[in-house]
Amino acid sequence: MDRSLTAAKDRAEHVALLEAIVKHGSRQAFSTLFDHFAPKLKAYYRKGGVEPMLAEDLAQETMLSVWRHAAKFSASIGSPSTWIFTIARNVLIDHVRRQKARQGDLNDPSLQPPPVDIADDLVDAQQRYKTLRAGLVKLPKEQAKILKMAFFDHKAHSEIAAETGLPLGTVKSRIRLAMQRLRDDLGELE
Amino acid sequence: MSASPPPPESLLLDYAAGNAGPATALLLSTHLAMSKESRGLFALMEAAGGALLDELDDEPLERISASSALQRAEASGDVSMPATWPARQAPQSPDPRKGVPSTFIEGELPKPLKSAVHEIGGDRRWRKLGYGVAATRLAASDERERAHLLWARGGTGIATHRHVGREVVLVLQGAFWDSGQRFGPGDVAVCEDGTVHGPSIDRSEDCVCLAVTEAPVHFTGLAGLILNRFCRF
Repeated sequence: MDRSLTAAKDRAEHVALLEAIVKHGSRQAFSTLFDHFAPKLKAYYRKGGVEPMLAEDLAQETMLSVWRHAAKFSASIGSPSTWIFTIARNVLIDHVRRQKARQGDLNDPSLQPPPVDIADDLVDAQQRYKTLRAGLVKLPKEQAKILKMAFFDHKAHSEIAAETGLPLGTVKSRIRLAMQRLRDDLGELE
Repeated sequence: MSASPPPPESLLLDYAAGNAGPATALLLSTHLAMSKESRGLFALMEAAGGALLDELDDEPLERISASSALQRAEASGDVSMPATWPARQAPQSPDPRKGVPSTFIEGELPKPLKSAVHEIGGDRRWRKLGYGVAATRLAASDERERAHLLWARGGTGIATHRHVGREVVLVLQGAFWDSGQRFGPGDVAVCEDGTVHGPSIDRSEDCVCLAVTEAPVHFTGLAGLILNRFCRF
């Protein structure tokens, strides 16, 4: 079955599970979400170079945030995956910051990106997510590779250039092209 | 006149993926507060991050489970959900502009910057770098990059200079011109390592910017490069 179709179904289910946590404090709903996301979160932290046991701790911490803050998720502005990704990223930033804490006071809230609304001219979030998934699969390999290096290997774009030997300008234009494509895909929905 | 400069896409991706240093993160969060276009782009990048997370192959869990997580939640008294995020450790800001002459910054600072400016404390002052240009360092700096607020009088020309290390500049007030491009409030200019340029401050008003420079650029070093002259354009 088309992975992006499966993903769209998952998304609707995950939204319902988050709602069940908010409305009823449903442990069952949390367990289902946990079983889906915690192994992916562990993979995310492992890819970022975190040791296996610590990766599980961070995955658990992320899922605890999901439990505590489920009411902050708004189905109209995005997908549970995006929301959980932003929590996972912030947990990782916090972790790195704690490690660096001895070097000085890095206790700066602005380190963590603020939650941002999806574009105002929002079409159906479900359709949007499906289109985005499909768009990512269709991206030219060299563009997809740069996105994955950014999100999973935690390389800044200048580090990607240094590591791949590509000119900085090439890395920048690939990022621009990738985002342009994704935006065009979503634009066609309107 | 020129069209607005493009959003700093590569830097926004660094930030969305969690790879920006503290000073760059401060600059970009301030930029996002000022630019609707970049907010849309940033949201798309975060959505891409979420979709890529979905694509990851599962790593089997060895010692955590939903029930162990719920037990931890119970132990810490988090069985019921608080209605709001817990307060972050943002400093309280009775007067965010304390220590910064108010004539330099008109109106409200964008939110992320308020706390950063507050951290300067009461004794920090603008340091004059030359006629018509002043700077003050912000606490978001670390060993790799430094954040400064820059102030330049309207009409000032900055002598042509070469950048060592990347410099990213966000305009907070006023405007400057660089290579025929106008940068106004909310716009971000990126000068990569080795760039040679000589920007000019727009005559319309004084310009205030947030600048993030990569080490090893020291501001004292840069100050020596800035020779001020008035130029016409």
